[in-house]
Amino acid sequence: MVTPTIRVKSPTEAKRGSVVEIMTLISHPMDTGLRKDKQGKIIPRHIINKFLCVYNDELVFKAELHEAISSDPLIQFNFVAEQSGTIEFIWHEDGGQVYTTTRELRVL
Amino acid sequence: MNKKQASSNLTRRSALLAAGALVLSRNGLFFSTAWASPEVEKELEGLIGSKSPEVSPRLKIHLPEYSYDGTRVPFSVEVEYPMTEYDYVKQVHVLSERNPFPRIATFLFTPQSGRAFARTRIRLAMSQNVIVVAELSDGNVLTTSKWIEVTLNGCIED
Repeated sequence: MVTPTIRVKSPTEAKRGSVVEIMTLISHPMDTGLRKDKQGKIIPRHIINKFLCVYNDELVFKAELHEAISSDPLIQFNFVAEQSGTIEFIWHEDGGQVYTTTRELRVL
Repeated sequence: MNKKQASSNLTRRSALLAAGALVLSRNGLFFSTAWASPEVEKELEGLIGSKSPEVSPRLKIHLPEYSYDGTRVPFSVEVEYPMTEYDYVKQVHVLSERNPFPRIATFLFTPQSGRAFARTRIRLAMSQNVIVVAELSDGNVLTTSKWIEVTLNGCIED
């Protein structure tokens, strides 16, 4: 299995109380379990089923993803910047595999 | 859509708008009676129980009117609602009427979210309504839907 490439667009600085915008992208085939390969065999379901965003140890956004999310799932969302700290992004894959990355946010 | 296309498609666009208005008026009826497909109805019952969602203009779906390719349809949803500690949007469910699996995604918000907004890209199997259901912290449930024309099946193609 190829390790997915993760891309996160998040501001490095924000004013206290302002709403920051985050965009995340993870490379993943998101196999639905409906498609067939060249031999006519069904490719089993293999998707990212959950995405979490934890900001200073507090969950600020969660998304449950299903088969109808496109390959290389892109997720954009917002949260309120309150204190400088780390933003953690967590992707859960079918089969229990977890991918994470973190970003620092400085609140002015 | 780029500018050039937009200006040359003015007549077609107005025709599409008229068609959209028709669909909307049909939806008004559709929501007051029952859901379009039994799968969606069943799925919703599992999500929100016996609560009856109220059609609300506060829910905004951003989705193109038509899409050639159903594999990557840009989609975003926003609930125009104050996100305070006591009054906020808890969850937003996105459902499709005619996909092989009715559920598309569920977004969970907190008062810390600041804005009940989420954007992603979705797969659509055919022309259908995309349904959004928002659960609020006070227990109320809002809903809206948008019709989209899809040419290429996004669930089977690459």
